[in-house]
Amino acid sequence: MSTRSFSRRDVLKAGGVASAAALAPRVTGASRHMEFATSRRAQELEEAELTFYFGANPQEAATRQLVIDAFMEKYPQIRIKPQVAEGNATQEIQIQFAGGASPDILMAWELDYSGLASRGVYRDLNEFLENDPEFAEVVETDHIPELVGMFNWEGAQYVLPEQFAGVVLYYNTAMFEEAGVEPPPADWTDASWTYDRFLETAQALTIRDGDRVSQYGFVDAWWPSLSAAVIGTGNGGQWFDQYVNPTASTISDPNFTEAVQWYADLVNVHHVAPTHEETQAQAAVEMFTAGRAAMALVGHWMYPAFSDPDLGLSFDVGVLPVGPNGTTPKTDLGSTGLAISSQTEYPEHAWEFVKFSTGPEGQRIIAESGLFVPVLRSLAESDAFLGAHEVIENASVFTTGIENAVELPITPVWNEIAAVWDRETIRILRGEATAEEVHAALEPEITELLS
Amino acid sequence: MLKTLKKTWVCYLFILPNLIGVLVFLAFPVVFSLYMSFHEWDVLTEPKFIGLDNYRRLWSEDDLFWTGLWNSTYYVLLTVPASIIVGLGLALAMNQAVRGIAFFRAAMYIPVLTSAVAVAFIWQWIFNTDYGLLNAILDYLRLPTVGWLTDKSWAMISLAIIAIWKSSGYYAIILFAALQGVPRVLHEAAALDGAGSWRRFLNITIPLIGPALLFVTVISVIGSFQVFDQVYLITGNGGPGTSTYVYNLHLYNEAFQFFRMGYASALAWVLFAILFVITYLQLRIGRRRATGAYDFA
Repeated sequence: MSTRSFSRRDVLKAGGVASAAALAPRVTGASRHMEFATSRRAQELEEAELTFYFGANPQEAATRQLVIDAFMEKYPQIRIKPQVAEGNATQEIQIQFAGGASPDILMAWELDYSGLASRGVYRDLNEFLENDPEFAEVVETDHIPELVGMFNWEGAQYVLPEQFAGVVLYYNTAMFEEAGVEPPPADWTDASWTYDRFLETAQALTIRDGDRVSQYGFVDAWWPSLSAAVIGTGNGGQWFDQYVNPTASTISDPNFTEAVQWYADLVNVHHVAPTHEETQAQAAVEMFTAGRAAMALVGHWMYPAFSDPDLGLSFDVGVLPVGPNGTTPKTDLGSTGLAISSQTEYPEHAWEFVKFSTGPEGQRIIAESGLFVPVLRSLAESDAFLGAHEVIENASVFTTGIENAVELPITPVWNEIAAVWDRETIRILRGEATAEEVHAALEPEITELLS
Repeated sequence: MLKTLKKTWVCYLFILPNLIGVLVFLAFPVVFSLYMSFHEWDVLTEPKFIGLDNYRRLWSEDDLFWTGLWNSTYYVLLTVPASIIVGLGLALAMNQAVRGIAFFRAAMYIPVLTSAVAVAFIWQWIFNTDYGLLNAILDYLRLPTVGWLTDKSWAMISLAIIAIWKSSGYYAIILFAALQGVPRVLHEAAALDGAGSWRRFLNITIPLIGPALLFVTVISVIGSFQVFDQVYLITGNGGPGTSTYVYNLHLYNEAFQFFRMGYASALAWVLFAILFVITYLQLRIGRRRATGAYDFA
């Protein structure tokens, strides 16, 4: 299930095309004076048209187009035809593949790719890397190893990462000033940002008006059942025995369970976060942008929307809270990347595009446009990315979280697990059941799905 | 034989496009899904024959099969009688010679014509717990508000309300046509014999529109059991919890979320069997009654 990819896309729609248009000249300008050495082999490829399938809202599509245009300028004989996902990406890819009409280049999501890989949808990129020592060197030295590793399944490199998308804590700086509370730290090694401090902060920022709350301290603007799991890891808990090909669920781990319960209590006991009903009435993201919530948990993909000048939102980003049994704040190792379809007639061409997008050239465009967190360490630490985030002071929170990121489960049965995990976690978050009882019952069920 | 074919081949040519359509898009998928229900198949890899395993699994291992079956049954019980009663009421009202009746006849058919997606979105707002129209009215009347779509015990009722609103206009049209076929003389004769209007309604109108009522009942039971789009659009994955997780939502998830096409086919065939039995019983019981009615007439 790609609920997350949906929400990523949908929420970004709010970002508007206007700001993308404003960015466009600057980005193309920058890409013009980057001339990388090109292997002669690539220039000699024959003419071809390739389809590139990806999930995107208008803003994302606009920036992607910049990468595509830069690629086509460099390789005029290769035409890349974009195909934007219309709904559930995994479903669409699978159906096109079954019909023998798979797009040549495929965007891949961390949680979903192994299901498609197990059905033979992707080529193993190691075949290309072996013949391309120059780029293999880039992957080896500049790519973030954790992300490359997460897309390596059963000995094959099916995907090369294109963005890091771990969640962070956005906060409304004006509200913090008004309430006179200290903002969350911007350092992923800072363990002083405890659950207690988080709760006190959220309480100080919650404003009640009779029996209604006019301003909440916190809102979960991501995928609540997955946020709960990330919070669980922030308390030193684990929800799987291992993350690539897990064999057992470990959600009854007391550290994990306590943290999920704490997370649910923010809504049901402390009333510092909106209930499920309330976020149905007003989308969680909107609660943050409309000034009805002071802190919001969500990823970088909301940055373009939040920083839209028309919105006039004063905000910054900080780290997630640490549980009493945790050591440091934790985020998730969220990521998307690019893969090559095993049905493509033009694997060499597709490889050039994957290389371009996940390599220094494409990544620089991505960094300078501020749309994704780049996956090359040289760029994550560069002014290119930070310069695109001048509205906030703590832009490094986006890039440095990687060291404290907990992997997401990579298993072909993720869809089945997500269905039960979602359904049951929502019961906890709605206060209908305790994390302890739900997790005790759910653990064997998830382990069974994994067997 | 050949001679007839010579004469009639043009006719066959005319039905050919439809015939191909039926064969390719209906007959083939139906047979294919029966075949697949004995297999494990994820669309991309080779189907694997597993005999009756899919049927065994849904019977003994899949709690959500039973949840879905119960939820769909509950939905049928909520919607079918209510929408037929409302439809009959509308039909009776339409049958009156009131000024401006043409307008009302058109108005009550509009929900039937409106797209399911638009309906879903509008009702989502009407049912919204905090800002919805219904709760605003309840609040104004100083009545307790209801979590229409967020409360487990209300969510299915809310879906049923939408279904009744959307479908009763269609039933009304069919019943209205039947009502127009009821001979006025019977009513007049009965009135002379001293029968009141309620008595005439029960003993003349109802028996005479019996076949239409039977038809409406049969199609509404089938239609309600197959409910999917409204639930999918309004409560997403059958929430809150599994309170609106209807049978076809389970079938959809198995087929298009988990890509267990074989299992989903088995679910489809079980639903077909259930509907077949229900419809058969309805027709048997209904026909006996209807025949009786004509004897009386």
